Amino acid sequence: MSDQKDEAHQPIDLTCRDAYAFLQAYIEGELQAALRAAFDQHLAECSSCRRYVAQYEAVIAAMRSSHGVVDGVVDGVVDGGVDSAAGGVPAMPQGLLSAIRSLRPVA
Amino acid sequence: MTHGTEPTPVGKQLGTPIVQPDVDEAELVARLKARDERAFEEFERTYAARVFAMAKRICGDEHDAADATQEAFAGAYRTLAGFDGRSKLSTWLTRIVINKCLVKLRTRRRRPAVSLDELLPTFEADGHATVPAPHWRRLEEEEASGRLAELVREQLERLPDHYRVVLILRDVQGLSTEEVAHVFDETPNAVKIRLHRARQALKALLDPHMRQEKMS
Ligand SMILES: [Zn+2]
Repeated sequence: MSDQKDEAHQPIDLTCRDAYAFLQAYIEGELQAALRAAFDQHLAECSSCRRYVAQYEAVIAAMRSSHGVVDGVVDGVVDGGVDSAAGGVPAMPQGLLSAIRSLRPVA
Repeated sequence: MTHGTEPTPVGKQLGTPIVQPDVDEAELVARLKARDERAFEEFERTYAARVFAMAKRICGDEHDAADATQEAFAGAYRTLAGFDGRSKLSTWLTRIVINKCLVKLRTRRRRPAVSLDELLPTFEADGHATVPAPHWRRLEEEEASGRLAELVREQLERLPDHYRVVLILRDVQGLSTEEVAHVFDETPNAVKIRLHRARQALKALLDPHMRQEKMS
């Protein structure tokens, strides 16, 4: 840390703390090439961070499947109805649509 | 993870949270403002079920979700004339219903939320994690059995509302960071930070349930 380094030629050394901080940008593909390479390098050398990244990504994937989202289709709601074949959520409660209808501003 | 790539001349591209692709929003808005009966029908058929589904995820309660949905449409119809098209119609409606939901949540918190700070990772002076990430049970099996999804649903409820809601909007509803920022009137960076903290906290809540049993 104290020695003078030629920044352009020295690889960036990331700590676990850095890796946790950059994790979100890493998985969203927002890291610059040099930082991305450093992140990959850290993962190659740190099994704890490899687990952490895998678990973090698993949480994101599970968020979607835990709420009935399959392949980016939210709810399987089709044309205001519910396509139950797509594992959709319950349809709207009875009367909700007509309650909404009654709120329309009158011409 | 794919965001809109088309450049927009006015304002920010705010993506598609609860929209279906074949709706021409600009045209629909114009007809709504003209109080075209068929436009209201189309608007409600397109969005009501989606708005309700989102409200139910956030409120957790069917009655509150129905109330929030109804209030959101009332609010939308009341302020329709002022809708300037700067954001998408769907984003505008999302923002209205989320705020209705947040009011409901404030009046009935089911149980005290965990303290987030206690769940966030800590580090040694040299930058190493104080506690290494635990070994989880085999992810493929936990995913395939639906057990992980079940745990996520259960543990998500323990997060403070403003963290839980960001997770739902971003990771379940698939709103972009910019859209979530618009909903909460925050900067995209603030949303990113909150989302990262929320995901980390949720992961920490899952750890004790997912930890591999030691073979000793
Ligand atoms: Zn590490």
